[in-house]
Amino acid sequence: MQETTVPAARISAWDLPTRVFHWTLVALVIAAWASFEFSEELGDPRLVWHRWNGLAVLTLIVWRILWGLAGPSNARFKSFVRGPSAALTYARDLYTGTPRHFIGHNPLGGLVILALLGLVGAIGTLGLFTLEHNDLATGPLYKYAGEAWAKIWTSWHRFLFEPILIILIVVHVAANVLYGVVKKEPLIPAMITGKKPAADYEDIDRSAPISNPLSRAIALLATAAIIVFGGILAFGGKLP
Amino acid sequence: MLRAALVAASLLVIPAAALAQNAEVIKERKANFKAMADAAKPTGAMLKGEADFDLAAVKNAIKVFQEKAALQGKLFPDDSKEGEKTEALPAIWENKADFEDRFVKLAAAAKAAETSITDADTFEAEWPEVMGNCGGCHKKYRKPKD
Repeated sequence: MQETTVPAARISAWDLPTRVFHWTLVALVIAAWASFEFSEELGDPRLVWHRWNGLAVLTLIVWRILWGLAGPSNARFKSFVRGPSAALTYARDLYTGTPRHFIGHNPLGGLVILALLGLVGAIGTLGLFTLEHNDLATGPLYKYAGEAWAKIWTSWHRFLFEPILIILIVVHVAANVLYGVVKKEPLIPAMITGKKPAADYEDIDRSAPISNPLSRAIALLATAAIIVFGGILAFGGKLP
Repeated sequence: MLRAALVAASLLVIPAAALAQNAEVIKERKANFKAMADAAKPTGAMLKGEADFDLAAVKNAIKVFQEKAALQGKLFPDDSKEGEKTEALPAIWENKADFEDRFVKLAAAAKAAETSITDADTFEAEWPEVMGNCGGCHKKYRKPKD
């Protein structure tokens, strides 16, 4: 009982913009699925909601790429993207029970994050070139694909979501739940509160905050929106 | 032994015969869907901005939709679930009332469009409502295309 009376020291792992990004992306991916699946019930045969939703997802992904280049160290690609051998070594240590702790992403988790971002970005990008099967809606850059290719991109747009992204999301969620239950590392609360309990983190030296994270995040969000919407308009695409 | 062989043979033959019996109805409904798809094709090009508005093509699609939709509900008897490369999903026979009602709705929407669509603007606004009947039904009752 005694240890509960002493509050454990908690240190910062995830900055506010990274957390807001994460949960907004969760909501938008669910909404993207729902706005397609229930378009009839929503009275939206031209998928207007789904198309705006996709542009929002793309903006978020571009923002996350910028944040991975100019954000705080734990969110930076440079600090969490490791090679496959580092990931394999980590996987082996995990299997043999060798304790290793990271304040940011571990080498294996970092690759999953990269895959998730890449996959969602690919699905959103393919969506720009798709064709609804009754010709009711097209992606804004559909004319560059033409009908035959658009049909191919459309099937990839679907396939990368179901089953590929869904499988990866299941892996991602299951791993985070297991870390909490088996290893007693509260990774899910950390993505909500931003804090992890103080421990012997091997990447702690790389972990450093940036000044004015909020204003920087907002400036990068504006940049991301300009890239996505400006890019589509520059190529003569029509917004939904 | 002979009896067993006969039973086995009849098990093989009866479903084949049942399929053969209904080949016609499946062919017929597929031809109707094809006619609707062909009639819808030019309207899709207009919606995508690839073709200019053409009232005659829209009127033709409206006519074909009403004619064919009136026939389709009856062309899914219980013994036409398989064969002839049908894309019909079992869900059709599990929700027969909803499925048949969709053709009624499609015909009604096409009928309403007869008067509501007069120019490019009303076409843009109203035609997706008619065509939405196709997509909504395909999503529930047609095998997904690869």
